[in-house]
This record gives sequence, structure tokens and C-alpha cells, in this order.
Amino acid sequence: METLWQDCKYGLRTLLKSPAFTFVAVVSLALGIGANTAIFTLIKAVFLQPVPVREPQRLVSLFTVDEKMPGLFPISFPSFEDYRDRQSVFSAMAIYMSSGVTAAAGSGEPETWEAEVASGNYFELLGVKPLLGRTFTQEDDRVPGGGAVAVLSYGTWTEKLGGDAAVIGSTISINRLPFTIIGVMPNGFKGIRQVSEAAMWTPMSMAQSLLKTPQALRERRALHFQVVARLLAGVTLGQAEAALDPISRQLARDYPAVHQGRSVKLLPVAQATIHPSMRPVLERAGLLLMVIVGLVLLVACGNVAALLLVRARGRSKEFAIRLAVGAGSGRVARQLLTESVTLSLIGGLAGLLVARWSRDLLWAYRPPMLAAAKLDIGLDGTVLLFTFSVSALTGLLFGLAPALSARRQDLAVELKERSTQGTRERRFFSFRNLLVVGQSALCIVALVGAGLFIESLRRLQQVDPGFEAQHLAATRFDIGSAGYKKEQGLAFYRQLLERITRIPSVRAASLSSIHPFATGGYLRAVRVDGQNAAARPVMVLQNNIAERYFETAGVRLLEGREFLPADDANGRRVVIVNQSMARRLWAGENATGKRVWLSGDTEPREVVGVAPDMRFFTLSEEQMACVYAPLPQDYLPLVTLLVRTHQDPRPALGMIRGEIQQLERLPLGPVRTVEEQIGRSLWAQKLIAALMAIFGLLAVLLAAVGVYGLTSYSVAQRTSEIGLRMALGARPGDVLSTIVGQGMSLVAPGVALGLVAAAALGRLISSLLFGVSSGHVPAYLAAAALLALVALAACWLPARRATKVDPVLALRHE
Amino acid sequence: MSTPLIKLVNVERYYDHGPTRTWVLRRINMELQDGEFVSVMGPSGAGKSTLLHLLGMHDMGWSGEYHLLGRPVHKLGKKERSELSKKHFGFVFQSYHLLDTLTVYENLDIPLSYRNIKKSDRDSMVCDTLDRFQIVAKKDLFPSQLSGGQQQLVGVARAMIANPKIILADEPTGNLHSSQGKEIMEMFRKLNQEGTTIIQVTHSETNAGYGNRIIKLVDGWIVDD
Repeated sequence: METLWQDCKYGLRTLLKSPAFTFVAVVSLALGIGANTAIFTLIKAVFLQPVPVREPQRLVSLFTVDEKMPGLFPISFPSFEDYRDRQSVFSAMAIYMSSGVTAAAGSGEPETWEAEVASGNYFELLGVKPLLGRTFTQEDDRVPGGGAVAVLSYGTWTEKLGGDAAVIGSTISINRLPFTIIGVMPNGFKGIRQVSEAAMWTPMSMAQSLLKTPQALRERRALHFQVVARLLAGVTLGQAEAALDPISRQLARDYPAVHQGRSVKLLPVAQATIHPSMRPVLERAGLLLMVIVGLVLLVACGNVAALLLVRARGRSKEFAIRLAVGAGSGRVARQLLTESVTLSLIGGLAGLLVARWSRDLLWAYRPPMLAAAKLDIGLDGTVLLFTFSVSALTGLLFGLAPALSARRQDLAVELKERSTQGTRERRFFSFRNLLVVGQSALCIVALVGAGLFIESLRRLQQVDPGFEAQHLAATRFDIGSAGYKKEQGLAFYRQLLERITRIPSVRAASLSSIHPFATGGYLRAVRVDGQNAAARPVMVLQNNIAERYFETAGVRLLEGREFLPADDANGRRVVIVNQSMARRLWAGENATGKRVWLSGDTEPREVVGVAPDMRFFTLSEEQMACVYAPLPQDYLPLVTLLVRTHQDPRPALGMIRGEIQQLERLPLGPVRTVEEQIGRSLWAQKLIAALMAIFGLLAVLLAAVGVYGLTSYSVAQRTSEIGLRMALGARPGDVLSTIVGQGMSLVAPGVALGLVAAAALGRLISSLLFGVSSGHVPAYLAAAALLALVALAACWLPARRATKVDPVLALRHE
Repeated sequence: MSTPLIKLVNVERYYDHGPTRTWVLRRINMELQDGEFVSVMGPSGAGKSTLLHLLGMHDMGWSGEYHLLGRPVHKLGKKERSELSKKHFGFVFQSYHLLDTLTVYENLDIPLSYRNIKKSDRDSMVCDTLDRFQIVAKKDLFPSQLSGGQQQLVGVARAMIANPKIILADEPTGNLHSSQGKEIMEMFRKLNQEGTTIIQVTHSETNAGYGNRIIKLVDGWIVDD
């Protein structure tokens, strides 16, 4: 231990004696380790955070699986009751659902909060205790409407209510009803979720007042609820799943129209904290980022290893002396490894600063859906352990080559008084040269990846959304949270549209249940009238809209007409379908006049128009079959107001907001232009393209430093030879081309190798690309050209120095 | 007759350069007794330094027999040779070869730490040596802050600190002016009188005069002993 400390001390002193080398190495490592730490911090926050509940390994989440549709879905309330009452593998099952509610604390402005409405046994099942007060129980959930109590999250308590313990027992207005605050949950408790945090929890007995679609409580088709269950001791997840199968089969027999082909799947709760539809995308993105920052770290390691090897050559006499005075070769190797690990730990410390800065930067550019996310992105013990491990491993990795080379010293040659200043490395396959080849190859992989994602983003931005996004603004509100029932709500809609269209700059306005490029809409099963009832229905997206919707969206119908005032609740049931749906159900025929049944309907609806296809949520989505229903016939209290203006809508946004607020003091979402909304929908692609570009350029920068260092070393080593060549008549141009040619002869095979590797690895990211194949040649050419140019510059600088060698001085050295 | 300290029998050393072979030492046969002060002399390229590094076991690529205190070095592996060398030899070089990132104190300490000697014992051994060579005042200086003579004095002190039986010195005064060189040679004589065997490579007749035996090498052959 004592000698190890001695090695560290001497190593540190040696590093301080070469400040330029140490600076370049530490900066290389700091960038590499910092980038890895920053990405790891985010990945840990999203995927690796433990769920703060009792025995989380015994908790499972239940999802519906439907043969007709891929993916995992929530569960309906009636099905939950069936599974709960008939199962024998769980000690308890709890149900919950998130819902936006209008909350007003004290005399404050009403705000939209996210409430989690949960069964009375929710907290008991999770095994969590409140920080203050109590949690609700089965007793609070017994009588419908009789459990107006709320448990607040720590964030809500501190940020909205000043963290005052006296709030327990006080009243808060939720959807205009008084709720008693009975408890506050500890910091870090988010329920069964990772990224976001509910503002409060209330018992399911209040569902009628708090849920947007309380009828879902009775509807088997409404897959709206999340279910969590605690496995009985000794029961495995597989056994539990198998035990639920007979219940699913019985439900299919009892309710074939809904339950045919449905079963349940269990996921460990740790995997259910992110919605199963989001998780694979996030996992792939996280993996991609880890791979890229891993490549950057490898390039940095290659750099430092090359620099250390060069330096080791310069220190060969020192190693020989150490051996001569009694050090074993292992001890010299240990000294070198100690130095490299010390170096990497310093790099790791500097990397923490880089990580902190880049994590804050990344977090500042987080996607809109994570704007209010409460993620633990602190550089805590786990992150520090990660950084320390990466640093130590990195140090061992790049310190190994010089340590091994030191072991191979020829002592007698090194110690002879007139031994030449280091032997020249002329072998192409020397480790040092191979490092440059490897670095170049890694750079190409990173650059090709960046090029592909940038091209993918460019193509995505050129996609036509299918409507006129220019001069269109949108905002979303929930009239139900203000206590409006259907008739009042429809009257509000009419009044609002009248007021908005009176604004001079407004050309048209309408309402839609889908907020363009954000949220809304739901899937519905559709059957053509006259088709066998047992035939498999088609799942389509439903958008409930007001009159003049297509005019407002700037879309001309392909057939038929828009909805009219006559298409109200008492009128004939009508729908408009989009082109994809028309083609799917009546290929080659006119859709107008045809009749369809939507699931749950008691009479068929007539198609009165066909609209061209539009993109609803993302520019990259597949064209979806969509059915439009008139809002008066399919009422929803949560809608988006769409406003088309004559010019740029931004000056009118304030007036639009004002008009809504004058009618009703509603908590409003931001009023944005749809173009802005489309831009926000591209956050993931923009972020990945930006990160890939940053990391790609970082890799190039590091590789350039590596090539520069190696060429400089080579020039220094060949000073006498260069002098001799010049004395024999070589011109500066000859020397320049020799040195640059030597450097580029290492980069060129690296580029070739990198291109092959990128082509092979490209297939792995092809599913993340849009409109561009992973073999997109220009991306490969651009990557090769960029690296070649940068490497050329990195070779040219030392080569230019070589042309300034004075032959007389150089030969005197010899 | 007692066992010689060192015995070489038909020792040869050569280097291959492609198809040609360059001989550096040819059929070296010699015996050195404990307590001798031997000077190896000869023109440049005669093989003097090679012989010295061979004796110090830095060089592995030779043939023949080498006995050290009766132990057949030629039959030992690399690790055993290294241990033997560590135990019995101390080295002094023409260019001093002090580690320039270490202080005088640390330069003396490092050979001891490589021998896994306890820190407290090392401290007292370094202090004794600093005293013995009268360089206590220089202990915190780095080599670059010392004169050539002072550096070589530290070099000799470093060679002696682990109490070796034999000192191998490769032109120890080659980089020093005459008065400093004389000081170093006087030091060698003193060490020899105290029982240390000295083997030096030198071009200087004067320095050779400090010893009691001269071996002359020419083109790798011993021409005079």
C-alpha cells in the first residue's frame, strides 16, 4: 500500500512536469468520461431508479393484450373487478387512473393538476407511509362521492402550498368541489411512474367528479385504468400469469364481443414505471446514446494511449534506470498503470464538471412532455461510482499498452551511453499506428450515424402534414373541469367560436378532440353496415370535431361536405372518413352515402364526406384510418380550439386567450401556433441529430489531436533524417508530402474500416430513421471527407514544421 | 583455492543484422576475486560496456558460462537473475542516470523500495547514506539543481545504498572535470578498501591506476589481463 502511494505521488509529479501532455490527456478524458456520465445520469434517472415501495420485486402491473392489436393496453374497470374477485395469486390488487383536474388552493388562480384517482387500498398495497397526516383507505372509498379527501405529492405541497404542515385538515377546491387534504407523501414518491409525478391522489369513490369519462367505470371496452398487484409470497410472475388465463377465457365466453382474444400480461413494476409503448423507444434511444458516447470514450482512450506510448518512448531511459536499480518489470508496469489511472481519475474529476454542465444543458432541452418532469438527475453515489469505475477502467485500458511496452525494454541498449534517441517505429502494424486506424474507424461510425440522423431530420421536416400549418394556432382546455355538462358545454363551444371568429385577424375557427401534433383522439372499432357482426372490426382513430374544422385546417374535402349545424345531437348520425379509411373499407367505391357502425353505437352512421389524409401526432407516423364525428353527437369536454388567421397568428394569441377567459376562467394550456407545435413534435429527432452531431464532431476533434500528436512525434523522431534528406536536395514540398502521406496512410485504412463497420451497424438504427436508408451514400461520403480533411490539417501542421528543419543543426544532433 | 566471486567461461555475445552477424564479445574467460578493483579498458566498440551489462545481468542474449559466487547464472531464469543482480550489484553510469523527477532523497530511497524494505528501515538507511556521502544538505534538491560531480556522487550513493557486494561503473568520470573525477575515484578507492568489489570501464590510465587489475579488450577479445 505504501509503495502504491509512492507510485501515485511520483506519478502525479511526473504528470505535473509535462503540463501540455497532461492538459491534452485530461481534456480528452474529461470529454469522454463527462459525456458518458451525463448520459448515464439520464439513463439512470429514467430506467434505473428504484420504485420507493415495500418489496417492489413482488409488485406487478397488469396490462391487456389483444390479439387484434399489437401492444399492451390498460385495463377496463369491470375487468379489474372480475380479475380481483376471482384471482388467487395476489395478496391485493389496486386500480388507478390519471386525470387532469382544475385545482384552486386558497384564493389562487385555478390550475390544471394531474390527479391520480386510486382504489382505497392503493397506498396500503404499495406499502408506503405519508410524510404528514395519513393516506386514504378502503373506508374513504366505500361510498360513491363520499371520499372527498386528497393526499398531496411532496412537490405540490412545497411548490403550491408553501410546505406548511398546517395544510393537513384544510380544504382545497378540485373541479369546484371541496376536498380535505389528509396527507402529504414523502419526497421521491411518484406512485408507479418514473418520469412524471402526480400532484395528488384521491380515492376512486370520487371518480364521477374527477374523471373526464366517468362512464368508463361501467364500460368494458374502456381500457383506461392502470392496475398494480402484489404477488403472494412464493408465487412467480409466470405462475401468476398462468393462473389469470382461465379468468380471461371465462370473460371471453361471458363477453365475447369485447373479451374475445383478450388476456392479461404482467410486468414487474420496475418495468412498468414507463408506459410499455414508450419504453422500447426510450430504451433504444438510450442505448444508441450510450453506444455513441462509448465510441467517444474509446476515441479518447485511443488518444491518451497513443500519447502515453509516445511519451513512454521518451521515458524509456527512465524505465531502464528503474530496472537497473532493482525494480522488477512488473513494478515498472505498475508504476505506469498507476500513472495512467491517476491521469484518468483526474480526467474523471474534470469529467464530472463536464457531465454536470452537459446534463444541465441536455435537461434544459428536454422534450415538451417532460417539461414538468420530476427526475432525479443528481450526480449521486451511483453516478459517482459509475464515473469512478469508467475512469479506473479507462486508465487501465489506455495504460496497458505503454505498460506492456515498458516490460519489453532492452535494458542494456537503453543504458548504453551512446544509444540513439529511441528506435524508429517503422512497422505499419505497431500498436500506436493501429490506434490511429481504430480511432479513425470509430470516428467514421459516429459521423455516419450523425449524418444519417441529420438527413432523417431534414426529410422529416419536408413532410407535408396534409393541412395548412401556416397561420394556424391551437390551444386546449377542459370545460368539464369547470363543471359543464354536455348541453352547457355545447352552448359554450358555440359561443366561443362565435366570439373567436369576430376577432378581425381570424379567418375561421373550429374545435377538435385531437390537438395537432400533441395529444387526443382515441381508437374505435368500426364495422361496415351490413357486414356480418362476427367479422373482425377495423380499428380507426376517432376525432370529434366542430363545424368548419376542415376549412380551419385549410383542407379541401375529396367528397361530400363538412358537418353542419343540423348534425347535432338530435340529427341523423353522420361521420366523415379520411382517405385511408375510405380506401380500406370501400376500395374503388365512393364512400359518401355508405353506413358504418362504431363500437358501442345503437344505430349506424352515414358517411357524409371524405377528407384527405393528415398527420395527427408526428410527421413520421403511418397514415392512420380516421373517422371524424360531430362534437354534438360525440360530446367531449376536453377539446382543442383551432384558429386560422389571415396573417401570422402570433399577435392574435393573447386575444384568443382573452376571449376564452372572458367566457370562463379555465386553466388553459399554452396558445401556440401549429407550426411551433410541429417543431416541438420533432424534439426527439432534433435531440438525437444534435447529440449525434456533437458527439461525432467530438470524436473527430479527439482523433485530430491523436493524429497531430503522432505526426508531431514522428517529425521529432525523424529530425535527423529530414535534415539529411534536405541536405541531399529534398525540397520543402517533398518533406511535406512525405510526412502528410505517412499520417494519411494510417487514416485511410481507418476510414475504409469505419465505412464498412458503419454499413454493418447502420442496420441497427434503420428503424429510428425516417425516409432515409442506413446505406445513404452521401452520409458515408460526407463522413469520410470530413475526417480526411481534419486529419489532413492535423498532419499538415507538424509537417510544415518539418520543412523548417535546419539540415546543419539536425545533422549535428546525429 | 576459494570460489571466485565471478567466473566467465567462453562467454560470447553477438548481434544479428539480417544475414550478417556482428560479434561483440569473443570467448571471454576470466575470474574475479572478492575485493578486487578491476578496470576494463580498450578502444571504442571493444565490448567493454557490453561486458559490464552482461556481468550486471542486464543483458540476456549471451552464450557460455557465468558463475556468480559459484551459482551458475547461465542456468537461471530471468526473474532469478534479476533477484541476484538486485542483491549483489550496484550500478554507476557515465551520465549519472538519476531520475530527474525525484529529489536526492527519493533517488536514494527508490532502490530500497524496489527491494520491499520497510519504510522506517529505508528512512534510516537513506539518512545513513546521506551522512556517509556528506550530501545531507542536498537531500531535497532535484538532480537538475546539482553539479555534475554532485550528481555522480548521488549516483554512487544510490549504487551503494542497498549494500551490494560489487559496484559496476561505466566510465563514471567521463562527464566530469578532473577534480570532480578525482573525488569520485577516491570514493571508489575508499569503498574498495571497505570491502566492495569495483569493476569499472574506463578510458583513463589515471583512473585505472586506482585499481589493482586491468583487463584490456580489443574487438571483443581479451588481449591483456
